[in-house]
Amino acid sequence: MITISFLIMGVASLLSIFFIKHETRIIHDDLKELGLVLANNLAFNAEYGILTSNTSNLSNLIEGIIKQSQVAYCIIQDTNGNTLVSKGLNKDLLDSLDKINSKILKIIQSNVEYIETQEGKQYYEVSIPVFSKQIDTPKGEMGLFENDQDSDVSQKQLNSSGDAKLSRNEKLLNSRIGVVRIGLSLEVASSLEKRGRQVAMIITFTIVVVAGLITTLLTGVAVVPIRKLLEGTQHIAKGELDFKVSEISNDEIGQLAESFNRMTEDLRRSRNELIKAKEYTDNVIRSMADVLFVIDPNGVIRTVNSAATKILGYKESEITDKPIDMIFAEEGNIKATPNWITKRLTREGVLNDLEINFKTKTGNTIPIIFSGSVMRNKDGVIEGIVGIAKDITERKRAQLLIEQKNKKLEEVNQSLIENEKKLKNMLLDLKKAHDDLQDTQFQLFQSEKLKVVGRLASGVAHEVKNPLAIILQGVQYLSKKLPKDNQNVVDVINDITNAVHRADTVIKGVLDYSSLSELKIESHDINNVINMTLLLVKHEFNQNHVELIRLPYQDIPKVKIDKNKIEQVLINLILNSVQAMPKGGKLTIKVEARKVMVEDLTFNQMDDENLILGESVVVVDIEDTGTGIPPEILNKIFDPFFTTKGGKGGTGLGLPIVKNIVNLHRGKLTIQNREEGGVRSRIYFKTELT
Amino acid sequence: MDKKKILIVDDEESLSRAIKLNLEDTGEYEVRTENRGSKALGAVHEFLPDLVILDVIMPDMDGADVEKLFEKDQIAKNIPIIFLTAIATKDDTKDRGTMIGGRFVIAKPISIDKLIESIEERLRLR
Repeated sequence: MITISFLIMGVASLLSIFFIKHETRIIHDDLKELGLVLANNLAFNAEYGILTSNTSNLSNLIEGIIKQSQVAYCIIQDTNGNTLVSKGLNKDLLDSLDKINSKILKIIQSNVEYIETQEGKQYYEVSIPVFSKQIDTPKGEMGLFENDQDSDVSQKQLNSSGDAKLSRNEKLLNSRIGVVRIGLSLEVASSLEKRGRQVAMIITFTIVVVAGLITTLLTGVAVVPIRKLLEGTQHIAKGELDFKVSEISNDEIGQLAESFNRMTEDLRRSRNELIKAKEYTDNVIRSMADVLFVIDPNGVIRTVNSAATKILGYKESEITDKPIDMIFAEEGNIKATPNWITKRLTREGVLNDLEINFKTKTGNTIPIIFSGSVMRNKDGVIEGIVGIAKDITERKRAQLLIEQKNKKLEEVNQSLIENEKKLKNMLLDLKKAHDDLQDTQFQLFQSEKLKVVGRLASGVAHEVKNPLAIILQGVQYLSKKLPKDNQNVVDVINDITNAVHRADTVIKGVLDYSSLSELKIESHDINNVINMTLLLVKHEFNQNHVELIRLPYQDIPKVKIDKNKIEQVLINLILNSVQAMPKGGKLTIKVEARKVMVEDLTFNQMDDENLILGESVVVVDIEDTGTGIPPEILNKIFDPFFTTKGGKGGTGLGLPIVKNIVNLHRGKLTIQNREEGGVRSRIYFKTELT
Repeated sequence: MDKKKILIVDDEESLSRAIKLNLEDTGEYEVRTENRGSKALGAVHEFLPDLVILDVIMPDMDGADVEKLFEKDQIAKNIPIIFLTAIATKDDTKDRGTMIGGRFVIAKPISIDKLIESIEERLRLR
């Protein structure tokens, strides 16, 4: 602002100087012109007077001229320099004129001289030579500005011929008859100049004052507040957000300042929040026990936390802006090179629990679990990768210890297993020996006792059955021939027929009991056998209102059985149960594969104990909700010819035959009352030896 | 319509006779009886039966041996056989007899109705 003020003042001063100069020049030119006009006029009129030396005439002439206020003096001289008439001269002037007299005597055209007297008075002396009329004065020589040396004509004359000019000048000089000299005082001009200068000064001063005032005013109204605002921005630029622009005014600038302050306040608040947030984040990162680092997309480390520097042994400044390779050990996992990790991360976004090694400043490797995720900006462009790593040295050490211990344990275990194997083999040998023994026993029993009994029974059966067949056929023939109207005859024939059937049933039972037909042993799934059996006896359930509950079963090991015989066993047991529920009830069939337990051996209704503790068996349970078995007969149910059915079709051979069949399979059959009521028939089948 | 010819071979002659009487009584069968297995083939050649009822256990020749002779004979080999046996098996539970090892077996004693059913079935399947 001050600069502008100075500029205005400078320009004003320059303008006034120029103005004064210009004014001065105009005044001087006017003066000179006046002089020339007067001198020319005088010279023209003075010719006669000079030629005639009529001084009174000349005096009259100059008298008129001297009246002009600017004219200080007037002189008419002849060519010899004698003053013919003069007016207005004084000693001071004469002294000064002496210096130019000689020059003036030689002039052939108008001439202007500046004179400054001893007393300090200033004059212009305009002198013009006076020529006789006989001589042609050069054209323009009588012009107003004959002192102009550069006029074309004179120039030409000068250039065309020096000699001609000289001779002409000589001629002019010779034709001169005198000279008129008019002195013009510069006093008036000076006073005019002085006034002009004063005016200029006043104007300049006014301008300067006004400029100064305006500047001050402007500075007060606009510049100061703006400067304050500027200052404010500088403070804020430096980060001093607490700075406030003080109250300025109520105008627009004041409002600007207010909103500036508001903006600053907002800025300060948001910056404080940012700082707080950053401090919080920094604190979180710093406090993390795990290593955290951020790398940029070029794989250059940007940020690390204190855990990282602690583990790696670097100072923070030593690893930031360094390539990530610096902290990853190459020999850890050949696949997991920093390059691979970066590539995989950019492709998949995250990478979890990668076991790799860090490389510390001292060159040690530290096993870590590394997880990383890609950091993207809101446009999805990858900004960097955030990596988290956990030092698992301790864990590895513990793992190693565990592994070593495991190895030892395994060794111990191995020897145990070997011992167990040996024991098992021994047990197997024992078992085999036992089985062999049983087989032999069984074969002996089968071949000797049973075969004898069987052959006997077969013979007896054959001998009895043929007569029975004859009786049956005969009775049937007779029944057709005998009169039907005799009820007695019909009854007798029916009795005979029934007797034959009963006898046949008994014989059949005897044959079954002695097991004439040999076992046809094959591998069977006992569940399939049960299902087949249930199909055969289905109508019995319906007839007796018995609900069948077949419990779910899984695949169980196959058993080696004679399917038909076991079907016979199952039918027998199921029908017994159905018959034990004359008013209906539930019959449950349950199959499971398990090991023989102590409880399985404590109760035995067989002649032999076929089961061995711990061996694999398939157990079939048939449970009813019937009347149960009276305790006093429970130990007799397997005795041959013992029956509770009286004369109602029981032979007393059913359960003995069933028991015998199970025994032949070297299984076990138990029939017991259930605590809940009803009877449980349980059959144990040995599973196939694998 | 001709009567169906049935040959019964059984050493138990009274049984053979009773069956013969029962069958002929129906009026649909012509029955010849033999009491020895060795006579069976000759009887087949003479009588040309539609079906043979063969006892399993006989003094001179078992039913199985008779069957073997039949299989080698051009005439006998196509004639259906019902084995009648006193040796009871579990299959006895089926009154009408059943197939055992490719043979049709009926256990003694058998009622005449069941026997006729079985005969008719064998003849149908011929």
